[in-house]
Amino acid sequence: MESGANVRVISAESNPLERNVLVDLFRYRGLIKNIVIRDLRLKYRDAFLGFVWSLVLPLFTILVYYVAFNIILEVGFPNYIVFLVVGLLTWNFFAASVTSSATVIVDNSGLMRKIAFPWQALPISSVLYHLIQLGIGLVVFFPVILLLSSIRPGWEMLLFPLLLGMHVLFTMGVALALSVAATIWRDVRHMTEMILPLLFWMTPILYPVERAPAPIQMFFQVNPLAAYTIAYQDIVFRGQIPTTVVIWTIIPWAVVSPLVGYAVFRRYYTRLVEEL
Amino acid sequence: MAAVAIDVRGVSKSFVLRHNRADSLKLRVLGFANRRYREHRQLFMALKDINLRLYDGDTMGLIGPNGSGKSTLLRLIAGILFPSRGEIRLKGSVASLLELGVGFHPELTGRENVYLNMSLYGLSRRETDRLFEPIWDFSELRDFMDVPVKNYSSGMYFRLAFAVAVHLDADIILIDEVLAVGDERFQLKCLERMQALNAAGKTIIFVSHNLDAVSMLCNRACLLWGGQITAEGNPVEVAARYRERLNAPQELMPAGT
Repeated sequence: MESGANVRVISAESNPLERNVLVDLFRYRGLIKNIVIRDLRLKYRDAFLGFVWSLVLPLFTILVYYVAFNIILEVGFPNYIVFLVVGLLTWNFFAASVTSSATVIVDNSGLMRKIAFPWQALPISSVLYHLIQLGIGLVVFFPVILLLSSIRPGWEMLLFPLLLGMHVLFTMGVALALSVAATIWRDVRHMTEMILPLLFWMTPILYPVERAPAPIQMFFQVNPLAAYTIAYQDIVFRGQIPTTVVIWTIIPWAVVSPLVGYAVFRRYYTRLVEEL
Repeated sequence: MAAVAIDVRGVSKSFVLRHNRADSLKLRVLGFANRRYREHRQLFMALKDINLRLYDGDTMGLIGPNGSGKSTLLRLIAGILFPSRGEIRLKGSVASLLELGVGFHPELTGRENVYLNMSLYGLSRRETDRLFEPIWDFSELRDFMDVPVKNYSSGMYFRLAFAVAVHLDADIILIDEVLAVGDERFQLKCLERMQALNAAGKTIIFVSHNLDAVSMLCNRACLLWGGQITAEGNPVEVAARYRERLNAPQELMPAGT
C-alpha cells in the first residue's frame, strides 16, 4: 500500500486523537454543535414553560439562600443578592458540567459501541450546554439585579468574558478527566456527588472570604474554585481588579486543567469502549 | 491492479473477561477479605492473527457462526475497538453501519435526526445539506420529515436509518447484517443501492448470515471460525465450506472461552 496522506493506521500503539486538543475541537465543531443542540431541544421539548425553566431553577435556589442567610440568619450585607447571583450561577455551571460529565460516557454507550465518532465531543458538549444555561441566566438576571441594587458596574466588568473563558477551560479539563475516570471506576460518580456539596461550602459563594476561619481561608488558596469565585465577586460586586494571588491561581489552572484532562482522555481513549 | 484499500496485518484482539467485575470500591474491599468476591480475570482471544487484504472496489462477505469474531473484526476496522497486536491500514474514509438508527433520538424529528446522525458519522453541515434531498427521496418518508421518530413505525424508522446509512459516501463501508429489515421491495432497493455503491468503486465489507445475499453481492468472501480465518476467496465456494462445517455435528466450537 502506498503511504499516501490519507492512509490511516490502527494498531495497539496508534491513537486516533490528536495531541493538540484545539485541532480536534476545531475539526469536530459541527458534531459538538449538533450534540449541544440535541440536548437543548430535548430539554425544552414538550415543556410548556420551555426555556423559562433554565431561569426558574437557579432563581429558586438564589431565593432560598437569600431567605436563609439574609432574612433568617441575618448574616447578609448590603447588595447580598448580587453577591449570591454571581457566586451561585457560576458555581452551578461548574457543578452541573462536572456532574453530567461523570455520566455522559455511560449514557451514550449505545452510540459509542457502534459509531467511531470522536468521543471527547461528549464531555465537551455537556460543558458547552451548561455554559449556554449560564449565559441565559446571566443575560436575564444581571441587568435586573444590578438595577435593583446600588452597585454600578465599573470598567472591570470588561474582564468578565476573559474570566469566564478561563473558567470554561478549567471546567472542561475537569470534565474530560472525570468522564473517563467515572467510566473506568464507577465509584467516581458517587464520589463526585459527595465531594461537590463539600466543595460548595468550602468555596466562598454564600459568604465573603473574610468571614471564614483562618484554616478554611488557607484552603481557599489551593481551591481553584475559590479563586474563580473571588475573581467574579471582585469584578462584579466589589468593583476591583482581582488580586495578584487570585490572578496567579486562575491562569495556571485554566492552562493546566485542559491539558491534563485531555491527556487523560487521550490516554484511555482506546480502552473506553471495552470499559462500558 | 487495484490499490489496497484495507490491509489487516497480523491482527489479534483479546478481551479481558472480568467475572465479579470489581468496578466498585465495595467489591474491591470485599474481594480483599473474601475470595468469593474477588475479581478474576480471563483472557478471551476474539481474533487470532488475522491477515486480510481488500482492494479498491472489493465487496467482501464476512461469514461465520455467532461468536466467531465477525463483529469484532468490523469494529476494529471501524476504529471503535483497537487491536491487541498487529495493525490495520485503511485508505480513505470509513463508515460503519453496525446497527441501523443507532444515533437516532426518539424525541427528535426525522430532519433533526438526519443532521445529528450525519455529523456523528463525520459529515459537515454542508455535505449533509447536499445529501438531504436524496435521503428523503430514498426513504420515501418525505411527509414525515418533521415528525418525531418515536412516532414512526419500526419499518419507517429503519427505512430512514438505511437511507442515511447508504448516503454516507465514505470510501470504505462496513455493514453488519442490516439488510434483514424492511419489506421485500425495500430490501431489493437496498441491494440495488449496495450494488451501485460497489459500482462506484466503494470498498464494502458485509457481515451476514444470509449466504445467498453474500454470494450474490460479493466478489469475495471470508469465513471466520473461532477467531480465525478458515476459508477465503470465491463467495460461492466459501459459503459451501461454511455449510459443510455447520453440518459436521461432531465439530465443537473452538474453546476460546
